Amino acid sequence: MIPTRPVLPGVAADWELHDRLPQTLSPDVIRAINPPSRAIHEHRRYSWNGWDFELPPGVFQPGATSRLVHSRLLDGTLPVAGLRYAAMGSGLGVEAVVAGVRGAAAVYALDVHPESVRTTVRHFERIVGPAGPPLHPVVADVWEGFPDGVQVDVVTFNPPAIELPLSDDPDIARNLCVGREIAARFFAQLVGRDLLASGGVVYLIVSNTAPLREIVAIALDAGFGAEVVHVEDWPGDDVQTYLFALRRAGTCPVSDR
Amino acid sequence: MHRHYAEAIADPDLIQIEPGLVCLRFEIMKVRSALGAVRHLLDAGLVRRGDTLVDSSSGIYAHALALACHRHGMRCHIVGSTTVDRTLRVQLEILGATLEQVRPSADLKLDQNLRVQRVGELLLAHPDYHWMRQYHDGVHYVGYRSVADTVGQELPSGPLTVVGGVGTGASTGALATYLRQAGRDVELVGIQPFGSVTFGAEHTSDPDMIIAGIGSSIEFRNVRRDLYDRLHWMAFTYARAGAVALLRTSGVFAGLSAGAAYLVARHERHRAPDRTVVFLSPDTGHRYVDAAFEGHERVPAVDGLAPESVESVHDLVLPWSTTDVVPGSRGADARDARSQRAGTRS
Ligand SMILES: C[S@@+](CC[C@H](N)C(=O)[O-])C[C@H]1O[C@@H](n2cnc3c(N)ncnc32)[C@H](O)[C@@H]1O
Repeated sequence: MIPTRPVLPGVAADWELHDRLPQTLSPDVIRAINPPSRAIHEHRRYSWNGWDFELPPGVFQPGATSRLVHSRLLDGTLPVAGLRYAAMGSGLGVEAVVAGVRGAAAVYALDVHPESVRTTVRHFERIVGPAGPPLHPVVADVWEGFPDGVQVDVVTFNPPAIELPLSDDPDIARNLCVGREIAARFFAQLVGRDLLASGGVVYLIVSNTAPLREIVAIALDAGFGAEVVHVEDWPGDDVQTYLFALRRAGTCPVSDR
Repeated sequence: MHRHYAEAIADPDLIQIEPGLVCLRFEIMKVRSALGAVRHLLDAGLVRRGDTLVDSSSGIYAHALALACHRHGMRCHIVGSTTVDRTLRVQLEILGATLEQVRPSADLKLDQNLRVQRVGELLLAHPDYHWMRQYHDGVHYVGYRSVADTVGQELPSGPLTVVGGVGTGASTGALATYLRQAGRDVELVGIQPFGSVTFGAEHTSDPDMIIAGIGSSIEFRNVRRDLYDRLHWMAFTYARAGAVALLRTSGVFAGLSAGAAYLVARHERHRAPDRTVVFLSPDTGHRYVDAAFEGHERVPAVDGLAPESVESVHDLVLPWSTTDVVPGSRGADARDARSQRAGTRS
């Protein structure tokens, strides 16, 4: 496969962006990048930005991809102050914590894994505390179980989008390899139930270890426009990781209102 | 001898309806799936005996899960709507399953979400609860492995066509998957009611009644679209004709899903006479006496009924349509995307 050059922010949007995105890497390469590990079944610790997090078994330990989102929430590249924010697939809760610290108006933490939601609550209570915005913990299957009639302005999602059975382990599968269908259900429900406020934005992070183009196509078909906020071109391999901003076509950004 | 009632009713019977046309007849099909799922969760150490299995359901799955929990020493908690019928409610109570009824609203989709929301609250508060997610968790496939084995062994070798209502996707999907893994040449033919979102027919509707259990108003992860070779959409009137005809010709008293599957199976058999066609009959006819069997004299004869062949879901017509271009499967997606975008660029 001929490596494609990363598509930098501002160069292309929507279908033109889609067409320039790299193809999904070959299964062998994807497997080599994600070697099976049993660590998920252990109790682990994680530190970032001077904060310490406890990870019970089954809860995803943030990697470099996660940190691309975390640091951009923290530095304000992805604005949340005064906005209603949802962390989809909240895991151990770093995004929720950062959004709390950055003054979101409300924070919704959703995960299909109850222990991840409980873990997020613990970290939020300890680090953000009662002075922060209200945290609404929700065990949900993407948006299934999220209250009807509530809208959010900003959503982040680092989906388990790899489409290979990397492992029979259900915890690994849930954290990494659900595939494009999770994006399909995510966007179908977001649009079908009108959960994203007018002018709202979804920040989605996906690499070419997953069906990157297909997932962007799903968002475009669901009526979103797509642009690149950041692309990471990791040294030593052909992985490219894209942080996209996806907005409902025909709505203007919250900050322009 | 069976060790439990659930096991006695879980396994289907293969009944030859005519040469090359076989009915896979279940008493309550989802019992097979629920038993397999609970067994698998225990064996894999994902739940422990005595834990509580929870899901939202107002129908057959609630019953099936309660039976599987009874068999395996698990607790069972069901979040249903207040429309749960009396027959189910008393059985759940006596089986020891707890039923929580969420008030229904006018909108079926909102109802389902309200129930899932309640399940989510329970999961957050109770670490010993496990969410079954019958629509999305692939664990609901494993119970059908033994059914696939039986079908593989009992039906003469050679190509098979499997026909069934799609519903959650587990039964048809699992049968095709396991039979193909065993090396069988299997064509999988799914049936949908008009109005179901699963294969993109939400723009259509059936004026009479929706055939319960075979369609959906939300996307189900357990429907793996790539597994299907062909789809049929059928209206209530024809499914009813199928159910009456099935009873008349064979004595099998089964529900509307089986009625629809019988019609489709006849059509498929005619289309490819060298393939053995096996169709699913997921439940008995008792629940459908008033809606379907009463008034059988006025039901059309099935011999004259045939589907309209269409190229896309946009061309679907009542009462019966079929297509080889399975919407949402990868091949079809690529085709759609190419044609749509070729249009926007010209
Ligand atoms: C790759 S991890 C990301 C975790 C965290 N956001 C981060 O970036 O470190 C994916 C998360 O999605 C959750 N998840 C998987 N399937 C889900 C679903 N159907 N609905 C909601 N969350 C899901 C997993 O439990 C996991 O916490």
